[in-house]
Amino acid sequence: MIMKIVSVMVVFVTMVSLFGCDHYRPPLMLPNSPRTPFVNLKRFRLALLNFGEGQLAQALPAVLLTALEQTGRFTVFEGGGIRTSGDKFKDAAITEATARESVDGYLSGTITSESATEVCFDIRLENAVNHAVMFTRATCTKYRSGNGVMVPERDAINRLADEVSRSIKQIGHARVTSVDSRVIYLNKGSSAGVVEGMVAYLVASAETVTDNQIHLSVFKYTGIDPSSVSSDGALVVGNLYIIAVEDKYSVGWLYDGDYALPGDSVFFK
Amino acid sequence: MEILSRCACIVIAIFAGASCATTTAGVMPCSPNWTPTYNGESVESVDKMLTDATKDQISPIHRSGSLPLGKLLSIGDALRDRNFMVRDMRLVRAAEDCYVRALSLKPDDYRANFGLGITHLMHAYDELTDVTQEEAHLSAAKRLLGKAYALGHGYYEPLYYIAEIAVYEEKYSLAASYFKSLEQLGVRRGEVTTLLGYLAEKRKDRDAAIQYYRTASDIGWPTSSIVFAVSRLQQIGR
Repeated sequence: MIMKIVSVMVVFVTMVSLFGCDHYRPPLMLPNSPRTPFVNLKRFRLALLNFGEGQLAQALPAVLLTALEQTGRFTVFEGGGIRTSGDKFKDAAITEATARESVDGYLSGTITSESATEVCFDIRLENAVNHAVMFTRATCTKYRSGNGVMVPERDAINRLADEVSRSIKQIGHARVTSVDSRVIYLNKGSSAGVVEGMVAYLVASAETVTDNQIHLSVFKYTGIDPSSVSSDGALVVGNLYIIAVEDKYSVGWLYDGDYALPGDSVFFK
Repeated sequence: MEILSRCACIVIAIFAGASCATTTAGVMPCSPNWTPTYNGESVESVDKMLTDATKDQISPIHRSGSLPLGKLLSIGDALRDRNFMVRDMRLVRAAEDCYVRALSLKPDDYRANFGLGITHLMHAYDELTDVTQEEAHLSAAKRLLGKAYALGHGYYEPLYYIAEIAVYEEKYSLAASYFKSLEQLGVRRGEVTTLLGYLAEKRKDRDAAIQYYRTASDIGWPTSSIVFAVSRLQQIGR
């Protein structure tokens, strides 16, 4: 009798240990590595460079810089480039070669003619990474000279700054439709105002749940109040610029970031 | 039944000669005065704990003081992920130390909240954790992963592990809703499909379970999930 009970218990414990250890729950898996996040720099960062040799070549961009900063369209940078010329320009913090390290684009110019009272010049707004020209303007302005200082007329420069600030349209965001390595296809093109050289940042929308019901359910289940969480903002995972534009779509190049996915969002600066 | 099966598991583990992870207090890799002679153990055993790349990163920085946030997170992640391979809870505790230090620098950091949530989940999954501790770990994991989900604006990774917790707590319909959402997103397809098959089994829907497990085996990755799916398919597919 006792042997029977013992053998039944042994069988029971064996069965429980074989089938009760819940070894048939799926294994806990390793987390995936997230894409490298970037600080969200929403505004277009623009650097001013000098317009060549001479006092006017430094005064013009200096006045233009003031006017551009006041438009509020750009975050304006000046790395000493408008205060140096000749051999010393290469020592400036921001040059054409180094601009990509700190800005999205730069404004350079060339004085095309100069008289006693008027100066004419061409300006170019260029992408800092691939140097694509996004905007050009040829214009002239009067200037005053006195005590050896040449000062361009500010009204004309202010109008020019307004034109520059409107040249890069703020067209909101687009969606990544397909990806081929670092080449990204977007669902907006020239009809939406996209131009070559435009700069944008990539948000990892393809990997985020957008269903509000799920959000509410998760916060209820986990006991988290999302309003109490201070976030860094949207998950920015890359930077890109536009390399080709068609009517209804455009093509971008991801120059910063791990990779893009179809469904990600692209926000133009 | 649950308690009885757990006791049986512990008995088998002891008879099988499995080593219990001891909670030796000591200097952790993320603390400023960590040296490669970690707890008096030889460098050889430290090598098992950290990859060479991580070890090379730590030593010069330690001489200058406490680690910056990025390094704390990298080391924490390396230790945490290593545990998935070698199953040593000392790695988990070392990772926790890194994440706690990271949170003291930045309480609303996504990676720190997520990483610490995963380590709590690892504790809960550890067979040698008792029931009371298991509940505490699950509760902490839920809170931290929920915060990571909020910080990530709905990023899928925390949701996946929150769904795992729901499965663990036998909240199967809640877990299924989360996994369905991930299925629509197309992320972690192998794992999500396998788990949907598991949930179908739990609600006694054999046909749906077979369908999910077959889909998972077609996906073919990751190995652990697919091995599970195929074994279940062999069990129930007859």
